Amino acid sequence: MKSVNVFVVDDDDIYQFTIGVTLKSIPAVRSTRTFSDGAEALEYIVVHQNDVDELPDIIFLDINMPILDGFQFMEEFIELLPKLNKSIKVYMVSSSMDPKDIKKADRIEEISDYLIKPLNSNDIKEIVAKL
Amino acid sequence: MKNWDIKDLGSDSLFTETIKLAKIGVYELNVVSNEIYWSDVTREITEVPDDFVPSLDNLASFFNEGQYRDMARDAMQEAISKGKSYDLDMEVVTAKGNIKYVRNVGNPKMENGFCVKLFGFLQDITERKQTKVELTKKIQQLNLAEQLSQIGYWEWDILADNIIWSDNLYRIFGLEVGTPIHFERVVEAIHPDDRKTFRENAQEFIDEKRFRKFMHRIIHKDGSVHTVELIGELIMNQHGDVVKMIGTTQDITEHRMSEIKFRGLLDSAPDTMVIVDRKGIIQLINKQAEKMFGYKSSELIDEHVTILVPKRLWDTMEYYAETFFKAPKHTGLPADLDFFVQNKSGFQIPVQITLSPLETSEGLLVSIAVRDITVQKQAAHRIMETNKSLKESAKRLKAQNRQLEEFNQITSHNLRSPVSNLNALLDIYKTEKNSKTKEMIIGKIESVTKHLTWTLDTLVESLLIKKSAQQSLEKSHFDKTLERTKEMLAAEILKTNAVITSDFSEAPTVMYNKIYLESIFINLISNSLKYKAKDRAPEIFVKSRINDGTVQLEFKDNGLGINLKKNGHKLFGFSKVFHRNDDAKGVGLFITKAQVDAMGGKIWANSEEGKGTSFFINL
Repeated sequence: MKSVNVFVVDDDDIYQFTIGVTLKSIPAVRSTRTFSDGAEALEYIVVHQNDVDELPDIIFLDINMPILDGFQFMEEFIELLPKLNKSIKVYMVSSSMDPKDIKKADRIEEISDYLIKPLNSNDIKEIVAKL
Repeated sequence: MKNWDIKDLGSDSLFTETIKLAKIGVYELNVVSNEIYWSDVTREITEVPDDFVPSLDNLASFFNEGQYRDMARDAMQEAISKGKSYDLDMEVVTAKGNIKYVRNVGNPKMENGFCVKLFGFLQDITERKQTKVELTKKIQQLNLAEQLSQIGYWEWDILADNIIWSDNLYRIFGLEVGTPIHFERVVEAIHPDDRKTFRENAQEFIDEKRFRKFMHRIIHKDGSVHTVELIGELIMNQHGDVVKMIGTTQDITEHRMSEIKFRGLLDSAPDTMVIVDRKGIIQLINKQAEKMFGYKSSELIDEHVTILVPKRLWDTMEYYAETFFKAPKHTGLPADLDFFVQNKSGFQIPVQITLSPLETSEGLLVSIAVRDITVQKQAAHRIMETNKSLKESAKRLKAQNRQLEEFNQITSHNLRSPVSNLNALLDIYKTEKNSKTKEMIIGKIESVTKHLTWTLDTLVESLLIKKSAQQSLEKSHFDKTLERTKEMLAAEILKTNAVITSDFSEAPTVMYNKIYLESIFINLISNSLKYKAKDRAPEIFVKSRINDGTVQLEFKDNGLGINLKKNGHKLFGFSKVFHRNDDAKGVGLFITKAQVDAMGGKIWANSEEGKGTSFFINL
């Protein structure tokens, strides 16, 4: 089984806590890193762009965040992607069932799927298994 | 010449001179010798050369073959054989080929029962003949003219009560030509209702020695009624007494009928019709015109059409009249002209005008059709009003739609996320064995619940704002509002060393919901304090001005600024924060916008990252 590196980008500390607990319960997840907004996550990726081990395999990306929201993060991330020597799956995660958001996410190729909160451990296991 | 026996004529007598002066030619045929004598006048009439010698052989050439040649031959033969004299009007052909009319009179001289000489006169009657032909032609033309124009001529010898009628007048009266006519016979033919007037007119003309054109009706034997018009003149004797009346009578039934038809047509027209001449003088109006303008026909006829038009529109009217007369044709004045007419009491009526040329014997007239468009105008006005209110409700609906959308977003984000957090926490709680961790989870559940309560409270507040908008409008002084805001934010201002300045000189006060106004001041100024630049003390400037009739407020700071390109669309959204700041809850601008919207105003911002932000509010 692969060991997977997961980034959680979300400003909601309760969500950070709950998903942290869920991820910990999955053996395939080697490490979890949380960021409170898109800008923090991006900064980290830029800094570690040549360090494959530090880069995530999976990003769970929230939409509503200060500074850089999910979509704004994607704009910059897509530009960055060719420089990264790693295939990174991005999952948009939101409590919003707003069709506008879902459609917008659908149009972005680099987003693998749109997931609705809360995520349970089975959902995450499946995603990890797909890698 | 001397051979000729012309003693009978008395050649040297007065007679010879007389016939020469009267242009009467003489001829003589000696039946025995067949010799012919022509006098000078005869030669003149026949236009023969001096050396011409008339003979029985060349006589025929003076008559055209046919009627006149036969007539001449027959007459001569009868005279010679039977001694019969003749008197003929006939055509001759002169030696020069001209046609002339002559009177040819011949008398045979008999001796012992035999004709020895034929003695005759020749008179040139060409001129007289032509005159006669012309006269006949003229009479025929006159007759024709009389018939065509349905005119008859009459002459009344008043003293003898003898009336002479032209043939056509008989026809007009439907009487046999030549029937003897006198005054009472005329009266008999007149429509009973018109007889009295006819008599009175005749008497009046005689008394006043002046004829006045008038009309009456006549009834034919077949019962048909005709209208005639009389024009005449009076003839007086040397004492100035009227002795004769002459004149014409014209059958104007058709005119009259067509006039009646025209009037009928005019009156049945749905529109008001006013007929004016080139100068704008009213000639004729219809019943609808009387109704619309409140004038009687007699009050308007011969008046200038400006009597019906408000003074302010005289120039407009003149302009269109001039255009019309340059090229008279059916012309509708522009529908959007906003033209009015005014009635007798000065009331103005919106109308649509159409001009049409009307060719008459008296020259070009203009028929003006006037259509009252009050109802259309009112309908148009109503449509415009409806349209306006539709637009307003569309605007309102749009605003409500936007609020709904906003609310939808709030529920899907801000209510769902704490609920999903609660679910996730409960899931963990169920599987967690460690009681310490369980306690921590309960603590988190508590904080989520608190946050959820706060979110709901805020939402309720914003809904209340929308509902209770226009309630208490009060006059607020901006300087006082700013003073109170400063007092409430005193601690923050002190801590940040903020400098707050203002200029309310252009618009010192506003009628507004006082609580909202204070809330707007507090939210915007506390935002400026909260999101100040790290390297400088906040400088906040508040200004009021009048912009397009509404009071506008500007809050300008030198703070962090916001990237509006990125975040402009969610600047006033619920729970949107743009800076990493512990205090940021993202409701200040949301509530401010709700308040401004509820009061029918508008709020927007200009900002530059690192330089500062300006908020503008149309109150």
